[in-house]
Amino acid sequence: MRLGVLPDLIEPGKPQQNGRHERMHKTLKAEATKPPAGNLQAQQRKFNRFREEFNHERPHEALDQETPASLYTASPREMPNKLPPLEYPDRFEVRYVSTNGGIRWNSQWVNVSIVCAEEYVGLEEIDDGIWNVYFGPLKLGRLHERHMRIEDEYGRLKRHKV
Amino acid sequence: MPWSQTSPMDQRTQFIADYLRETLNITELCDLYGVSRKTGYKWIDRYLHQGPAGLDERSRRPWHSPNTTRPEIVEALLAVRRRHPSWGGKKILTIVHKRHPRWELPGRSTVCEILKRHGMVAKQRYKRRIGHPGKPTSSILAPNDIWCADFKGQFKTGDGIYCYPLTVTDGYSRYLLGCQGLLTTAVKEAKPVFTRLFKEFGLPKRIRTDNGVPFATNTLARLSSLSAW
Repeated sequence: MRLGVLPDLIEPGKPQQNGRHERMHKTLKAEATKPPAGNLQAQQRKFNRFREEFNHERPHEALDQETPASLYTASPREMPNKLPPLEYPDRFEVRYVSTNGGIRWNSQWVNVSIVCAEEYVGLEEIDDGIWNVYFGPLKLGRLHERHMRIEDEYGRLKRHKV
Repeated sequence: MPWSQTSPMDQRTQFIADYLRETLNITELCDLYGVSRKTGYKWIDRYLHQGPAGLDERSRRPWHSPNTTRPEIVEALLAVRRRHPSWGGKKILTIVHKRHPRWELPGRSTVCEILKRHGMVAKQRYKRRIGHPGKPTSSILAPNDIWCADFKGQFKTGDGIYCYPLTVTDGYSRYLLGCQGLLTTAVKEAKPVFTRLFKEFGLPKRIRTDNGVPFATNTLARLSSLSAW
């Protein structure tokens, strides 16, 4: 996320939404894990050999019997050495999430999320006392000043612990 | 159970035995057995030329099959199959065609038949298919639009320790970017793998995953510490 890579989560219990990946697992299972190798190092060598064959040798029906390597090009966006800082427009209120996962809001404490700890979140006022909370480009939820809680996208104000 | 059961083979033997006794002429004999004279003469002829073996049914196989696949083609197809036992007709045809572009190759179904004939196809258990695939969420039009990442189901290696293979593919080209056996699904093990892949292949636009550890949690926007990073 901090690198500008958005998470794309499929619905729970619906692996078919990630079908092409799961199809690869079937091939992987058939070719590299039956029978499994003696230890993790040997298994990794089998995986590497499978990766080579899968990418450069095996024709794929969905690719018109081409190999993946012939269609793939590396991404032009390089991995930065330092994480880029999260930036927000001027109209946003920016808050630093402390190590306990909360922010200060109107001299009170509001829980955001422990995974955002030591990062900055941006808040945009959309109504009187209601703020959208952003983590970079991703909208986390909506802060209600009346409850001093953040409502998530399903309208829940309370959540289980992480 | 009825106590008189005769097969055509028994009747033929009986027919020939009656013929050899020479009490009836051919017409009467054929009438008795309910066959035409032509059929009667045919079996008598076969018995006189080939003995009792001539009364067996003959193979119905054609004498000539001018359109059979040439043996060197069959051998090439079988060689590819032996090298890649899990590849089917289409892939084998593609490979053989690449090696011998001049050859006139049989169709996909014929290749499958040849494999079956040579005992290289294990019988599949019949599976009832139910349900309907979910609708796709976003379109994938170029490499690095979406990477798919997931853990393949864990299994035990020979030393009895579980192996959790983390796999990452490119959604467009199916390029298998990484396949790394890990000891757990924890973030601290998965993160170095992603760092290495990002350094080697650059950054994708999105990463599609399921909702398992370490990709998602029950926090705001299902963000996990791996996806936050």
